[in-house]
Amino acid sequence: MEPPVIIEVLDRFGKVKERIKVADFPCRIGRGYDNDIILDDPYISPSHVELILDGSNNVVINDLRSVNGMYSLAPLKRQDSLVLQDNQRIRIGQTDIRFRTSFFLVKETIQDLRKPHSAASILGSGLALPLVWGTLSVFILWMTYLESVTDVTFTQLLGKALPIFIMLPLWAFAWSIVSKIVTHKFYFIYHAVWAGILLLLLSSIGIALEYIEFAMGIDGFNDSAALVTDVIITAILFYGHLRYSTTYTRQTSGVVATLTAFILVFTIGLLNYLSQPEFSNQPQFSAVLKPPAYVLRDSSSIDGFFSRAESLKYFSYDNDTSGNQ
Amino acid sequence: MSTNQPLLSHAWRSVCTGLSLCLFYVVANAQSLSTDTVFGKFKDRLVQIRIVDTSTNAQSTIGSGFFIDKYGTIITNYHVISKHIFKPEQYRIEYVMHDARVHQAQLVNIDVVHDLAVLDGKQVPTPHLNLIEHTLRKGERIYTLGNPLDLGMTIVESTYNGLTDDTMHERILLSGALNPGMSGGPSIMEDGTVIGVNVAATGTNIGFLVPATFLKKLVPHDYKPGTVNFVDLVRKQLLANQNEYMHALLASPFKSKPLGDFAVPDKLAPYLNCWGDTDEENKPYRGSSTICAIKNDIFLNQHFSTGEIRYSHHYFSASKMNSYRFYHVMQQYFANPSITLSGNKEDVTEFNCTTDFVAQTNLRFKVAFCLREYKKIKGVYDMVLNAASVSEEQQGLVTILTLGGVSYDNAVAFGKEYLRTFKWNRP
Repeated sequence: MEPPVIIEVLDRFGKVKERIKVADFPCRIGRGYDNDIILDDPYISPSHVELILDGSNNVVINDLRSVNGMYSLAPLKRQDSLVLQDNQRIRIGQTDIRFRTSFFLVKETIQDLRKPHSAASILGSGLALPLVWGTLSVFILWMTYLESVTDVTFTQLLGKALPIFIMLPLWAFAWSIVSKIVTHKFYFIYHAVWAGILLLLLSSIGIALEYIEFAMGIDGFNDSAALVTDVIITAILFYGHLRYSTTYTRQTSGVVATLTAFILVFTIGLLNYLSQPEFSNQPQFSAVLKPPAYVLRDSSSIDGFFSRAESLKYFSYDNDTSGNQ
Repeated sequence: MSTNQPLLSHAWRSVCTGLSLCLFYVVANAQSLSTDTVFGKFKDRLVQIRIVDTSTNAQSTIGSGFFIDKYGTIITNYHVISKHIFKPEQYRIEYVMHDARVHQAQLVNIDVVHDLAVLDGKQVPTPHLNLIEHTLRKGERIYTLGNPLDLGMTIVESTYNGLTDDTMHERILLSGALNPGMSGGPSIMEDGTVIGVNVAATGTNIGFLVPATFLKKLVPHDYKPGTVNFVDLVRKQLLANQNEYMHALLASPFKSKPLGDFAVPDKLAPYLNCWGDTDEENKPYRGSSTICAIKNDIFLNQHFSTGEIRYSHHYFSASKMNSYRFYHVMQQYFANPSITLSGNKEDVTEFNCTTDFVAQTNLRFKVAFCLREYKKIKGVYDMVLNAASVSEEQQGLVTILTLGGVSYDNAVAFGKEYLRTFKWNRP
């Protein structure tokens, strides 16, 4: 390996913490302040190793009789002196160091397709939060009013809607903390705005699905459609997170998000199914009622209805009369 | 396993009721000298019926019974021996005579609808009671005999109050509740003639007598021991019974009565109890309900009864209510039919439902029709029919019909006639 060399100081996960270019030799490395490169590791001696050039212009590293020595990695072996190779990795104290030449090929630049003034940044602005939460509040209060079966005052409505108003900021705050831990950024407004948007979206879709189920008279439409909605919303959620916090491309993010959403919704659905009571005395049917204006289907005659219902009488079950109690 | 807890509480209840009955006996004894005489004279006609678990030899159910002829024929309740019917290998029938001798008995006939069973005690000759031949007058003194738990024979004195006229099948009501262990015992006149069989149905907490007339149809019987499939007999009797009352109900168009601006099915038979209710004030709509029902009074096993007829109508009207909100109110009633049907996984399937819009004259309903079948009694169904009118923005009707233990054909015939009865007198 010929000069100049680039020293990569690695953290304990193997990620590059620091890069130092060395052009002048000899170059001494240690914890002492009189070194060319100072490393903050209590297991490193004040003067630990030295880089020199040999006769054929190769960089050689020598242990300066340090307390804990110098090791080459894979296999781990104590070395007193070593002719450096490109990508050579050594350990001094508890610090790993990798050597590169200046010809090291870096990865291709990732093209940033987000425009400077995209929707995302508008959503992160101070205006979005009051806008989304304001809309959501009106929506929640209005729905609470529509679904109340007794006379209600505005105070009572507020009381009923209060849990959502409390839970939403708490929810956003909790995820902001996760965000802070993972990405070192707090992102509270993003989480709060997106939580509001998703809640609005979910509720609106839920209501729309109810109307469709009622209007078209499709048994169980709501349940299956809600499952699809769950997958889509979850996929959007994952996609957004992947785009923001990773360098995945759109395609990769899309595929990963969709697959994860499918697996997650399927698993939750399966758990729900498994935790259902084994037997129910209650009939399950499409119980949505909407005003008459939304009925989009012709009515059957009474005879027609019952003749089409005939298949209901066929049950298949294990006719076991001897079982235990 | 899980039977321990109910049995224990059952035993406790029996002991408590038994003690109070003993107390009653003391009081009654002070009033009437003949109670003691009656008891002493007929106690050898009484037996205690025990259903014994063959695997553990523990008694699982107890009740009372009595000899009805000199050939050792014993009368008791269907519900006392029902475990033996559905699991004959697991449960056998024993009876204990007044002198504590224990014998095996064989089931020979049942009447599931009237809760009666006939056993062969395999002993001759036996002292026995005779069935009453004449009609009773109100106020006549009757004695109810039984053998609850191991407290010994019990006697309760009361007076005859006539036959009920608001039940589907005639019954004699007793003045007090009976201990479950007295089920199957006789109620007799002073001369020992049987006027009825005690029924202390668990869960209902009401004691009554099955009139002796129904016994005459069961004894004598034309059985060959060991050849009868009793589960099939239960099925036949249930189907015959529901055919009988369904045909009577469907013989003529249903009577209707006004509810708001609607006409709805009225009280369809004397044995149905109907009551009504109007909603409280603090609501943005006016609402009133009527309900008609008979209790599901045919006992099949300890957690499964059948024979229910129940329908309720809920009328709503508003003048200035958002129609989305109005229909949300109706949905609360439509979606939660509060089914009172019993049975568990061993007894019935889960409900199969279908929904659709159905037109009836100038009315349009959203109808949900649900069926479930009895697993051990094929061809017998429970039916739920929910309908909500969707014809008008601020006026509506939700109706909920439940039929227990009917054939498919009768469920549909009743459902059709029921829906046809609704009319709307458009204001």
